[in-house]
Amino acid sequence: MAGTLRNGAGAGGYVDSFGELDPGELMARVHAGDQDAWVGLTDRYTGLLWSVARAMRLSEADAADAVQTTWLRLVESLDSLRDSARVGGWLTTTMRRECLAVLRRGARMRPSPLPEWEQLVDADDPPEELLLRTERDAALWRAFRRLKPLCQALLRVLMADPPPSYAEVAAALEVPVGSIGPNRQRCLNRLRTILLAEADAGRPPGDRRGSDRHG
Amino acid sequence: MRAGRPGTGEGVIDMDDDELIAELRRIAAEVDAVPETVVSAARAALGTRDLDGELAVLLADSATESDSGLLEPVRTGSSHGYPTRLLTFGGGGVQIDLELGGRGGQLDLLGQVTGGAPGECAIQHASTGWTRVDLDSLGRFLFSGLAHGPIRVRCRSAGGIPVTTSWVTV
Repeated sequence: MAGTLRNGAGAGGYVDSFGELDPGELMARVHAGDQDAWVGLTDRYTGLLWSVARAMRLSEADAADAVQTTWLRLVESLDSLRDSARVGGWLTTTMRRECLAVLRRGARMRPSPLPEWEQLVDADDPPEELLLRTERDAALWRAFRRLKPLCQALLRVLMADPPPSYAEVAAALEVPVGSIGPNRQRCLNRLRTILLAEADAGRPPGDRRGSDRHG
Repeated sequence: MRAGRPGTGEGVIDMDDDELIAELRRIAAEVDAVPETVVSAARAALGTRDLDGELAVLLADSATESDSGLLEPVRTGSSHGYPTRLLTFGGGGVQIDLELGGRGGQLDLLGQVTGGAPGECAIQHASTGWTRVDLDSLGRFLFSGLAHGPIRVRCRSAGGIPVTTSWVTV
């Protein structure tokens, strides 16, 4: 098995020859024992599964376990999966359940009565802005982090690489497919509002959108 | 205003929705990239395929369900006062009960097989592989020092058929 790993390729750099295939075709090849098709499948969806876990605010360690468990469940279910073409929806639904189980388990297993998993997640995470090279990127990410939780979750899933279908996003968030487009627009508008407010707050009065950030 | 200035949100604000999502995707890849270990674990998962025998599905999990009366500890009392998690799997004529306790980075696993063949079971940890465990005369086994992560347990039914639990993250 280890021989089929292609070390060094990120989740976004899936094997080109498989990037063109739809999920149903990939699954057909996986069933036939094609390990490269499996690599193509995992490279297409691991980024999305990771985004789902992070959208649901799992720590990196919990997210890693949940993604791995989801893939193991797919292998376990390969022979019983009825509609291979919808493997993306199956994966995101399974992933969502894994994440909910982690969150519930966290609440039950910790001796502390405080529901502070969010705080624990924040303590685990590196200060993200420090990782960004430009103030423009940092401002954008800061604004994203100031969105309400539902908007953050939706946008975090939409940020997955490669981009997910709306059906997959809907399965990940357990919302109607028809709500994705309007909410995406609403959340991005809210993001712009936060960005504008932040940019204006950093400028002298009467000098909006005209000069560099104060100081 | 298309060309934004560094240090402001401008430029970004004037992007259309698709461009803005693409920008966020690019930044997410920098601040919250998929760890390489997650990618390689996903690719390696196919290696767990093709086990013969039956699947024992998860019937109850004390950590995620309200008390159903289905779960009883294999032995009484939790270990060291830390919360104990009870799991029940069933399939292929076998019931496998697991009690997980412990603290910090490692867990103690106490199991009991009902309707199984005498002898041994094996525990597979997704990252570290298989470990055999001996059953006592009551079908119980103990495994100390289990790492967190996805595991499953494989035993043999009284009829000799291998029965494997579904994966569970501990």
